[in-house]
Amino acid sequence: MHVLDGVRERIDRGSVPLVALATYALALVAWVVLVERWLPMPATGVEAGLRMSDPGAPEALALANGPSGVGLYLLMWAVMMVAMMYPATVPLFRLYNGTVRGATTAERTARLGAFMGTYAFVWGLTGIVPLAVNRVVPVATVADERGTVLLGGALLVVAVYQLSAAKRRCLEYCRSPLGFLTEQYRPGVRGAVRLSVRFSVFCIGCCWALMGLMLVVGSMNLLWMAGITVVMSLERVVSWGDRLATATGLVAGVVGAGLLVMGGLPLAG
Amino acid sequence: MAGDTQNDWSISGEFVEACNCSAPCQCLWNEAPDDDECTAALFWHIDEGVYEGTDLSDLTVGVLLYDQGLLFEGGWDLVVLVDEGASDAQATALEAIFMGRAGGVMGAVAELVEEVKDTAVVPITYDRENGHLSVAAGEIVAIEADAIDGFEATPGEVSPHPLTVPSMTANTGKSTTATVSFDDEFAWDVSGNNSYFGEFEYGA
Repeated sequence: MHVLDGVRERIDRGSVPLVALATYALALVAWVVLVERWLPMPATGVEAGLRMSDPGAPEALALANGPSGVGLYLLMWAVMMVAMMYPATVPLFRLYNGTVRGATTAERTARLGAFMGTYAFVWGLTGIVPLAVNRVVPVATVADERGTVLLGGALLVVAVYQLSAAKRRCLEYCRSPLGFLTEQYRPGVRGAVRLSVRFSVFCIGCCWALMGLMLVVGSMNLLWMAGITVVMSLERVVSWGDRLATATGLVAGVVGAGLLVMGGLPLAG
Repeated sequence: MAGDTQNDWSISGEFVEACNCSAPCQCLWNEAPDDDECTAALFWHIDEGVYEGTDLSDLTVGVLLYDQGLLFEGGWDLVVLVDEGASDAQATALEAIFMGRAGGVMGAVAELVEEVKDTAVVPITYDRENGHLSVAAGEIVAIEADAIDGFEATPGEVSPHPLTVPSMTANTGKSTTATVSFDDEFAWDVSGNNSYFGEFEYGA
């Protein structure tokens, strides 16, 4: 009920907010691109039977194909970030739109573009992390041999971080976009970029553990992607988001510990 | 038509607010105000300011605010008070800025406003000396407030504060007088309660 009330209130107040619609449309396009697999991926040099949604698969493909593979991987990762992160950021994008109210159309477009683009760019850069991890530890191989232990361990990391003070602090920032805006606002396109970089940092601080899970379950695993997107969006947008963050941490802890015990037993294979 | 300079504006100076919460007001922690109701008078005294070539220095703008529940969830009712000393061009500029039409941070805050009930032109006086603040807007508003000390007799500060300069702190204060009488909705005596004051700097 609370969710519905919130949604209705938002729709009433903004009388069809253009920025929100555009943001959702962009996120939707990103989802379609990923679901339909429209992004090109180099497919050479990898053992047969490996599917794109398998853990470590896209990273292995990328690393096996040099600079072009890495480039395409980062592009895919950036599209994924838009799909996962834009829905939760609508409140801030809308508020920012308010700050360019008096400006000309050209300037509005430039500033909004800089703001939203920088956000996608910074999140896109985080794609370097899964590549680096795969360079050291081939996740595909590990997942194949000790999948249960790998997922269990990753869930424990999520649990510890979800319940930490750092998570709470970053989430508070993400949950009060107006406070963030009034504190960090600077005029101009450069101000937009600066604001966006700062927000991205808090956003990464808030979500890195949940996003890290993608690395273990498969960075192109659409089902996990959808589930994590819902959790991250609710954490930020609804009034009980902070409690959801705690609950997510507790569930991840219990399931993670369970998987580790299971994976540790010799009969589990 | 120099399109890109049309909406250039910047103002800086000092602000003061006096509300119904016990000092300090809990809206900064995103909590509901005392009695779940927020009645506040806010004033911005512009030391230096310009809007599309119109000089706005030494003018003061006031806002009367009524809200229920969490302040930053919105639904505000406002009355805007514009300095009688402002020329027509200046008054138009001040309204554009403070009603959020000219963008900037005020443009973002405007999302929270449910309705601007009225705008009035009144004589406004603003004085700040040695931690004592004194603001009057005609017969409508009277504020007298003092800085209050925090732990170890050090002047109290809060940061971040949404109205103040980024990276700066606002002073905690307490009103001795904080009365508003405009109409039925905007009439209160919240003397002896919270007052914040500090410096601001806004622009588009």
